[in-house]
Amino acid sequence: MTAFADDSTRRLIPRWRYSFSTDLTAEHTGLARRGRLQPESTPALDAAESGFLENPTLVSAAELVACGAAYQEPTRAYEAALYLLERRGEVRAAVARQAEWITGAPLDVREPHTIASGADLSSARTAAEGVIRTRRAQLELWPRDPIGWIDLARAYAVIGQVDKARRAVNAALQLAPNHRVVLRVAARFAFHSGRPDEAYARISRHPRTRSDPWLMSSELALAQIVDRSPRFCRAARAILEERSHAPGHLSELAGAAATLDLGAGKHRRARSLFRQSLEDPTENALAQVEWARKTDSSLSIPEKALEVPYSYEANYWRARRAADWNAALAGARDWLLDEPYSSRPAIFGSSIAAMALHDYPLAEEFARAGLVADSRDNSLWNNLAVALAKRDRPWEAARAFSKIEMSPESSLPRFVANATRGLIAFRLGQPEIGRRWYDEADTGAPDGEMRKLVLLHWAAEELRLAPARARQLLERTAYDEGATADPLIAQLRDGLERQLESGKSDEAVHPPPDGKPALAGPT
Amino acid sequence: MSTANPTVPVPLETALIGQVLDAGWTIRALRDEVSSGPIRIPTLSFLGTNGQDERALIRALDLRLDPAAPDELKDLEMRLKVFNYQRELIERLAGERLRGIVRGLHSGSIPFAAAPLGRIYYLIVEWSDDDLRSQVALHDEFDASYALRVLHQAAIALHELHQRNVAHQSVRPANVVFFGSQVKLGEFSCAVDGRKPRPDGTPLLDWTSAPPESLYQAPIDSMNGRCLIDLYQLGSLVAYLFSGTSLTTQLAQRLQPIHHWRHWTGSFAEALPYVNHAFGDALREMAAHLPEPCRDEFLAAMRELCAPDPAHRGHPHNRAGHGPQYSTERYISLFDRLATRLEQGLPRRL
Repeated sequence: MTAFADDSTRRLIPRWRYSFSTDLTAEHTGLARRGRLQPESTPALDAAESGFLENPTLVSAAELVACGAAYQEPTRAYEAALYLLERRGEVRAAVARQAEWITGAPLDVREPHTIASGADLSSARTAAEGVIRTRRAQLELWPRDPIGWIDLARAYAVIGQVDKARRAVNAALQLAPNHRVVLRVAARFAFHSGRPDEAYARISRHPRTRSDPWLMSSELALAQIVDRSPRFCRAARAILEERSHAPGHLSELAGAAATLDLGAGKHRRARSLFRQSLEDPTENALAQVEWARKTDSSLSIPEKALEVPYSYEANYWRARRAADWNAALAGARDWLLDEPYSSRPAIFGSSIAAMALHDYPLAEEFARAGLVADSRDNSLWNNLAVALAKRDRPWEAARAFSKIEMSPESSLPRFVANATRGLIAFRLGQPEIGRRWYDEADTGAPDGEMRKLVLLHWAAEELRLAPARARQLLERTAYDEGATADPLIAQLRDGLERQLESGKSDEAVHPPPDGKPALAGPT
Repeated sequence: MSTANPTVPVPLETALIGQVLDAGWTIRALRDEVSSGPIRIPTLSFLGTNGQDERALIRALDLRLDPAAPDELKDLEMRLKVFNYQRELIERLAGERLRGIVRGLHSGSIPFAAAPLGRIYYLIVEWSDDDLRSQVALHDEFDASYALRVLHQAAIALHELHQRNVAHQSVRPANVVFFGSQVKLGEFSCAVDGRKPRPDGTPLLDWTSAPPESLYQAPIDSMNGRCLIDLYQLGSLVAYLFSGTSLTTQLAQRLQPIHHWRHWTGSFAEALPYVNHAFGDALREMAAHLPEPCRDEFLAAMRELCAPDPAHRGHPHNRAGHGPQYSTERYISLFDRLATRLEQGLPRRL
């Protein structure tokens, strides 16, 4: 087996971004209430505007700029801002900065830690360290800032300092125990740190969940993860039917309910709910539909929905389904930069890099980037071991593999670990031991695509040593007539067949290293 | 109902010049002022003089119909009620002879044919040439001890008002006015007399200086809540004096558009975490503008005075139940102490 990526399940657990991210979703707005709209008229701004036009002075310009900020009408204060900036030497630094802000310049106190699409994977860590510096300084001055605490927690989670992240999340919870975003972040963090039961309990027991569609959607998703019946399934369906909130507030709830139905085989109802989730989707709901299209190809996505900001994961699923591996990798990269505390994009990225593109340095980079946030993720250690073995660094691969905690509860299936053992043994020049491990993996793998993957990777190793055996293995990976092949498996299979026909392996044969102890085979 | 304005051959602003009012006051000139406050009731401001050549600010109620009002007559009625409320409050305070409050000199009405209803209703208060905006100017070379004296006197003025069960609710640079070296609080159009409710309920406060609870339309139905608005605005003056910008506009710059009060549709409680976050960031920037010898004290004062959640506003001692939460007494002492320290060049800790 090579790099492992379990994409058979996806739940709509909340996203977690820094507060300075742009294009925040409806989750970050309050639920609309009657009679709370501000007046349309802007009398003070009108007065300041005519005051400046009639008598442009530093004072009247500063007044108009202040009003422009207060009313969020920067265009009406633009001339006044230019007036001040032309006289920058005569005004105070903060006044000039306010004028700059009116003209569109970002505040320099705003976060310089935003990561551009396609950036180096290490930039997430650099950004997190910057956030930690600024947030700590800010929280020292004003600790009653739950958003600051969850930003700090996220940054700590990104660099793998889970205990510090937990303390920061708890501080946020103490300050804002009923705030939707804080609650969802707390649940997301508990899930991230391997405590899904705590995540579920936090959401399902909170009184706000019975009326808040965002918390309800988290309850539905987390219930599936901890294998419980959702408490608010009926209430969720009622809210979705009544459409008592704007579509943006119901997007994730509809997606979560649809996922429940999809799992229960109720495809028609799932399709209808997925459609509802796309009326004004979050990127998370969009990704859910893209993922679900693997199971239900009749699901369609309106063009408009594809414009949702941050839809990196959706891009990944779409490209993966289309076997556009470079685009899938780009999607995984951006997704990992967007959610560097999550191991899934790192797992998927390393898997695509290794399996589809045979770019093992990149597979290593993805795996290592994921391990920064979660050094206990067995799948990532496995993928790192695979990348290193494929780069003919089997001893480093063995060291990486030794980090995997093999236990009955391990998230890494035993057959995957056995296949990786087989790969390392082959690369150590011990093909007999490698075969025994691959054989174990073959026996333990579930029928279907997983077994095919085991066989394909075993065949890749045999190709260099025993082409006839490789052909035998390859024959076992054929799909039944009429069956739809997984694009990744089809790609691997085609590649191996070409190599068999040409009689040339893409990878070199390595003799056993002298004086090195033999790897033990399965007992 | 007619929607047309009454025909006024000469604009009222001009027609009133030269009019002689009661008590020997004469309207001399339209006052040229930079105003950005919300218009609660429309008034016309004039410079007036009396026989002793003393000057005064004359505010005449503008009773011209507003065609944009949903009900012009009700609007007119409300203007009269609010004007009367304000007049009675200023008269009450004038009788108290408060040193930090702009004194009301006279109020009344005169027949004036060209005006709607055939009368002009007016208020006469002390004249000041300057307000904090022009005093502070906008440049960096600003005397910190002078700023502390301004804050000290503003805190005294608020203390005087609060003791008399009055909340000002519009403590902003334009309303901090100068009489030589003396600082007073003027402009009572948003003020609330604790003895009787305002006829227009909760007034719309100026968005460049209002506290978050007002901007996000949280119900404020106690005098404690209203005086806590004054506390926030006193703290915002600290920001203004040392940076040239009010705290509220700094918050506005830092809030994501969806969290800004102009667009927010949820409750104040839901908005509060975002406002607290913007406040922390604003404090971080303010720290760079505060004079080093008193930076920590200023930051502590701003934290206490401007806490976005009014429940956490005020000196810790007062919040613990010793005296009213909105008391400014401790800040009167603090600003005085810090001013003395700066003036005498004393070390940071005595």
